[in-house]
Amino acid sequence: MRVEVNVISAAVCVDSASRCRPAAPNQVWRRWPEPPVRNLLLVSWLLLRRPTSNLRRLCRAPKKRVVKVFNVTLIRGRRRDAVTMATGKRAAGRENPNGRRWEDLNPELLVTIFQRLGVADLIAGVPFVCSSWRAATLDPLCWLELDFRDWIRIFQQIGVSPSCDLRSVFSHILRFAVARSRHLLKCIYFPSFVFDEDLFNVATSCPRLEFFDFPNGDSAMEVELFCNAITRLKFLRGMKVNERFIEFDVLQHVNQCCVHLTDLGVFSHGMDARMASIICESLPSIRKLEITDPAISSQAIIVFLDGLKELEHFDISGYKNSPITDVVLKKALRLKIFIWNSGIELGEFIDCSFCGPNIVMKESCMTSKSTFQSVEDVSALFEFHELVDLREKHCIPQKSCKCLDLLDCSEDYSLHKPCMCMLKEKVMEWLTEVKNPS
Amino acid sequence: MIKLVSGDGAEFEVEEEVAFQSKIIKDIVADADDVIPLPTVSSKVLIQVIEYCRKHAAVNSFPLSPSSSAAAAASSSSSISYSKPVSDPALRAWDNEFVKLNNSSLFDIVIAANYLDIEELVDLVLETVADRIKGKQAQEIRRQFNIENDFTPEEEEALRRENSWAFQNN
Repeated sequence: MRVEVNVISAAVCVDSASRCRPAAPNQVWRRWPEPPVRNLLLVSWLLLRRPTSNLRRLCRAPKKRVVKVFNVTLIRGRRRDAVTMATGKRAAGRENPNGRRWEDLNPELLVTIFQRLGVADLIAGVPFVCSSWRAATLDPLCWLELDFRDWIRIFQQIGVSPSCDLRSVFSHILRFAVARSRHLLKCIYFPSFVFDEDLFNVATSCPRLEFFDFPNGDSAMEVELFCNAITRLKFLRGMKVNERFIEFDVLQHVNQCCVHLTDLGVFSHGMDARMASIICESLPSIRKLEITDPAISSQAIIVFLDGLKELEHFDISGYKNSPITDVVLKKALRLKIFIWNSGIELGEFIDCSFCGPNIVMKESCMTSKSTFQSVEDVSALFEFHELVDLREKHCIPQKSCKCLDLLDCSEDYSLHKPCMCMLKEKVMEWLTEVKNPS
Repeated sequence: MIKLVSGDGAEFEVEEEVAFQSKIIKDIVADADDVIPLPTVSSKVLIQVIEYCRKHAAVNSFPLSPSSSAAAAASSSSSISYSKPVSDPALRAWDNEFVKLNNSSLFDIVIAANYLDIEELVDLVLETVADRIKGKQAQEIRRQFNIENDFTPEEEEALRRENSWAFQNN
């Protein structure tokens, strides 16, 4: 406690000596003859106002003690940033607005930015900007999530010549990125041309992997290699795989090895009731299921809804047939999130030439448990369920605002604008219908 | 009311809930008086930060409706996410407008927000910066962010060699 008192008086000394506002800290001093530990925060804050050297000189405080308190303030990352910024570099930046600034951003903030960038940016973009940015890209935190789904763009940006062997370049990039993550990789999305060996290599070198997206469907069946990879992934929480791995034995093995697995995604061409029941039997504790399937049968959906008791999030968007029936919707009532979306039910909107990929639709088409109270509601809403965020259905005007806002602020709004107008019209039409039932 | 004093001496009176968007101010005020000098923050930046805090204080004071929390749950993917998405669509739109600033203003704001420990604002600005970096070549990034290339040609060459598998022209 004495140390703190010393430092407080030191801080007050500094402050009285400062020209700007001596009053406030003096008041502080009067108010706390015996400062509690949490006042360290205030001390640190006062210390920020003058560089340490000044502080020592002004208050003649023993060097050790000041440093000690500074150590306390250094514990939390953000405060430390404030220290560096408040003392030296920040002042320089203010005097010279065109001077070096972004390169002096502290490494933690830089890493936070770089975490949001893609592999291509981290390899071919930011490291070449300046030395401090390059140093920040060496932080493994930047490399915990690798997304190669859009590999054409990534290869272009890195400057891979089209004549190269894609596979070997990819494995180089992958090895480089995994090394940068110091084998702490958490999440990986493979490109469409990936081979089983790639998954195996990643699984061997990154045991802490939590999620992988493995779309490959063309190579020869190497279920054994897949199982070997799975054996190593004790921390796996989610995976998205091709339908060729949806076999009872394989999934049983997954269930045994990955006790934390709750998310499953399947790339398939036709999810039928048989495949659905394999999933339900071998992975009964799935909470989130995603099936991007052009032809899912309503029977399969019902099998899922009956079989997976813990299911909360069910995404079957992407089908082209029409498997949504009253029974399906009734059973889906218990889910937290049910995303369904199709060319059929979207009818005229999907053909709009401005629509492009229906990102907007997908974002706005979720419904939740509280959405539907009865089957009657379901049939009433059937036509527009994708378009409207229907929660709080007792409160219609708000609902419409919500829905339209949701549509408005989605990213590619400008692209979808013509469509949105039609959607809005439809939604408004529907809303008035509900309000004044004829 | 809390009085905030910027580095250039201007005083700003703000309501407690607005100022308390900053965790550090919240901690300080719990112990100290109501005049808080912020010597490293200029008035211009402080005005922007207060504007942000005012907006967010107004929205956050209402408990989240079930719909917005469900929307947040839906938008979170199975992979790791680095920031909590702002769940209210109207607020998100407002945020998007708020960060339509040049890079040097963004820099001032992120430094101030980081200093004041306003996590959401730091995340918002860093997200924006990341979006502005995405897909750009190093030279373009340097020009946009006014960064000086401090590599010697040898160093740059060495860097490129490190990635030689990518830049090979065979």
